[in-house]
Amino acid sequence: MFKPEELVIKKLDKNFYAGGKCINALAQVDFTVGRGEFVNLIGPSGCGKSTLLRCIAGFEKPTSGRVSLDGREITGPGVERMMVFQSFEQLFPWFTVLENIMFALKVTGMGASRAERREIARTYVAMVGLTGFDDFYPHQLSGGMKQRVAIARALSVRPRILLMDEPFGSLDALTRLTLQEELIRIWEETGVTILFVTHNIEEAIMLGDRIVVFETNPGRIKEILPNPLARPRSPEAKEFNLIWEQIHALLGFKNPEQMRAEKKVAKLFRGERELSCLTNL
Amino acid sequence: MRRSVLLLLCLTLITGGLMLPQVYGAPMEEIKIAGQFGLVYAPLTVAKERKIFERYGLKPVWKEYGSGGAVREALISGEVDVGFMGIPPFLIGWDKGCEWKIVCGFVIVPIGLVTNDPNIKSLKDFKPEDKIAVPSPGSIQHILLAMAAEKELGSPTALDNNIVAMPHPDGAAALISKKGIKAHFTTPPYLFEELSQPGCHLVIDDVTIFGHPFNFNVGVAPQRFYDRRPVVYSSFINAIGEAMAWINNNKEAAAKLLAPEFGLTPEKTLEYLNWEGMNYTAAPYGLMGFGEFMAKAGYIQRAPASVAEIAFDNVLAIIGSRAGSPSELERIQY
Amino acid sequence: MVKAREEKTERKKTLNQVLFIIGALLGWELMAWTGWFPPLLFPKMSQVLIHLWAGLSGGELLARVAFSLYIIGLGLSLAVVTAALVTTGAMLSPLISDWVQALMAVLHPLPGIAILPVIILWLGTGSRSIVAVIWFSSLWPLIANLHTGLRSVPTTQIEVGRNLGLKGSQLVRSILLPGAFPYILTGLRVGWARAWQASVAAEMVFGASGGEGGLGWFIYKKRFFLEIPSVFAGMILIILIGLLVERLCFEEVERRTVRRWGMTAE
Repeated sequence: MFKPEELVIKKLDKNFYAGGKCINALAQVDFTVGRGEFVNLIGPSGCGKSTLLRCIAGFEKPTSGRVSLDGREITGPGVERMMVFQSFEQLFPWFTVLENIMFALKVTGMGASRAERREIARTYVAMVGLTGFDDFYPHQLSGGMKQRVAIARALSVRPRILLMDEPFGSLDALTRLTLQEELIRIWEETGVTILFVTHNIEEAIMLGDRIVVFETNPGRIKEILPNPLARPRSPEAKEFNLIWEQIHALLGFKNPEQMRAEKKVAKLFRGERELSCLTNL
Repeated sequence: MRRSVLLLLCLTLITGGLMLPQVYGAPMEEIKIAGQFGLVYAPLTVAKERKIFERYGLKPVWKEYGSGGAVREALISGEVDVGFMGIPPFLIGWDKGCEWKIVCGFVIVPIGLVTNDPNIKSLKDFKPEDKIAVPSPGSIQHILLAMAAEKELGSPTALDNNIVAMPHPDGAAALISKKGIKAHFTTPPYLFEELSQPGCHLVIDDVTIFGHPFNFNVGVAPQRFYDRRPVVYSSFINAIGEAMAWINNNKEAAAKLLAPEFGLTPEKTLEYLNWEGMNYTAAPYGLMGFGEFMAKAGYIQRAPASVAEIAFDNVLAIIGSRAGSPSELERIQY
Repeated sequence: MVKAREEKTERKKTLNQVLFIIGALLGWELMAWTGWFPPLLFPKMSQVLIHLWAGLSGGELLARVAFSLYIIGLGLSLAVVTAALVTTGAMLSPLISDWVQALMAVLHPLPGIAILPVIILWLGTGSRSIVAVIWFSSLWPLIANLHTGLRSVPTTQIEVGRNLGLKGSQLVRSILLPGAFPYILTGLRVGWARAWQASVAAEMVFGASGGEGGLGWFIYKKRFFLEIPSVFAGMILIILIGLLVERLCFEEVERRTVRRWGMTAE
């Protein structure tokens, strides 16, 4: 790798026990993420990609194997690994936009005074393009705005790595595209490492330096694809389509010819393409 | 055809006759009577069991209430024709404008203030935190306590902050188990039960406070009942008199009859009926004394000027009106 | 714009309600004037208001209200503390949680006043027993709401808290409690209403203890002295205090918190 290794996942196994049965959610997951890298995790539902993210965040303990950041083993949640969730409920409804960020700053001991924390929070609100919404309560914001605040809050505590669990999964197609662009800009501005779970092929190609494709039962890595496309990326580009087809095939769709035909139609309606992917996955 | 009709008519007459065996000719007049439960109301139980009211052509409807307040409210709202209550609750109603009067005296029973604290010898020994249970504010027990407080402590309200309201059985249980209260102003049979408990003793009794015996309860009826149904009224007086006389003359039989009602043995019931001071009488005693005290202490606006204001003519006739100095019966009303 | 219109309809609604109440009071007064009912049982409204004023200016009613509020405050605070302890226990141990739920299923439907006879036997009469009845009446709605409230806090919010390094009591204080606040508020509301009812009912059943009775005792005493206008005055005061606490206290807190935050306990 051209970048120094930061996150190392070694022979990770994760079993869940439910109703007397053992479910092997992750088996022998092995990969590393470099500093400042943007890695996408993609796979069908139940492939364990979210579980992997939760193991890295420290919310789940691996059954065996290890996860380490900068050589230190991860044993629990930590502020250097901030998670952004899919749920719109991740903001604290009793705090305004600014207070949500200031709260994160306060409990992590950042900013010497309230005034200073306010100033820091303001810069992050500006970074996600929400200047003017400082004093709005979460219930007054749209879904996209809420996710922006969540990203701002996660970034405000200066994590080494941002763990994003389908953060745009509940947004409409148009908002999703805008936020993808914004996320790339923010990533470039801050240099933070991003691990991004999605089940949308196009989103994975738009965002990541590398795309980790998972398969299911047990959840394991099928293939790690490099994504060398130059940014800004366009779905119109030929290479884009090539990677799209590659992932599509990796995800196990049997009739690429037919899918390609569908894709051409769908190209006219970007949003609907996603729908076809979603229903097929 | 005609025969079958005749047959039917015969059958109807026969069954009709069978269904009305108790009729003595005159139609039965309904009278609604309110009372409470307990030894005090023994004449009502006797009248009920021995069907005394029926002999006088009355069809009594018995209504039992949980407190004197409820009896009084039943009378005010016209739910019942006659009720029994202490003189003070009657006077409070009279003072507030109830058009009712005393029909008869009811019973005389010993009433007393019992304490479970051997250190309490007189009213002066009650500390501010010592609770004294009475059945309710404004009850005869409360007014007697106020009278005693005026005599011994100088002010009728001296013990008002000590009182708690409790129905007799609860008060007795609390006194005997020494839970929360120091004393209980009560009536038979609770008075007897409490006094037979070790550690409980009498602080003061009714006759010491009032000076002579008085009706613990009186019969009360609205003026309109007296005016509109004089025959029923007089039948009631006679019937209740017969019930009382029967108890006084047949204590043993009465005890047997009453025992299951009170959940006591006949022997115990007889002991209670024969307790010193028990007197089932319809004669008026002490009708006026309470009024004067209550007016002075501020429980009512004014005292009745004469017995005529608070009692019907049959009661006035018993008391009489002696020319010259008042008679014994007149004097005993104060 | 919308807000202004909403406020206008709100004001209109309040006005309608106030007019209705005034109308009802006038209707009452007229009914009393007709003399169809015994005045002793159905006093004139004007008479009631005069007694209310006399009671208030004479200081007796105020003392009664103060005592009622004091005793309710005491019982309710004890219930809040108990509910907090019980819920903490239930959160720490599934076994305790099962017990609490079983207890709640059995005891929640029992009106507080129903335990009065037992309470009298155990604690005797007096304010201690009334406090116990108030405590019992308000405890169950408090526990039920606290329990549901804590469960209603989204897992993601708790995980965000853990992600930020919060643990144990910090997590409870800064995330679980505010998250459960809509339910806590509902619990306090129901608890307060039941405490108020319990205190009045308990005092009316066993008449408290003379000097230190509350409004229930006031009504009880006035009933026995047949001062029916005062009985009504006491009732009106109970209604007024209930309304005041609801309007000035709970609704205001709700407006400033739950409604402002867009959080509603369904």
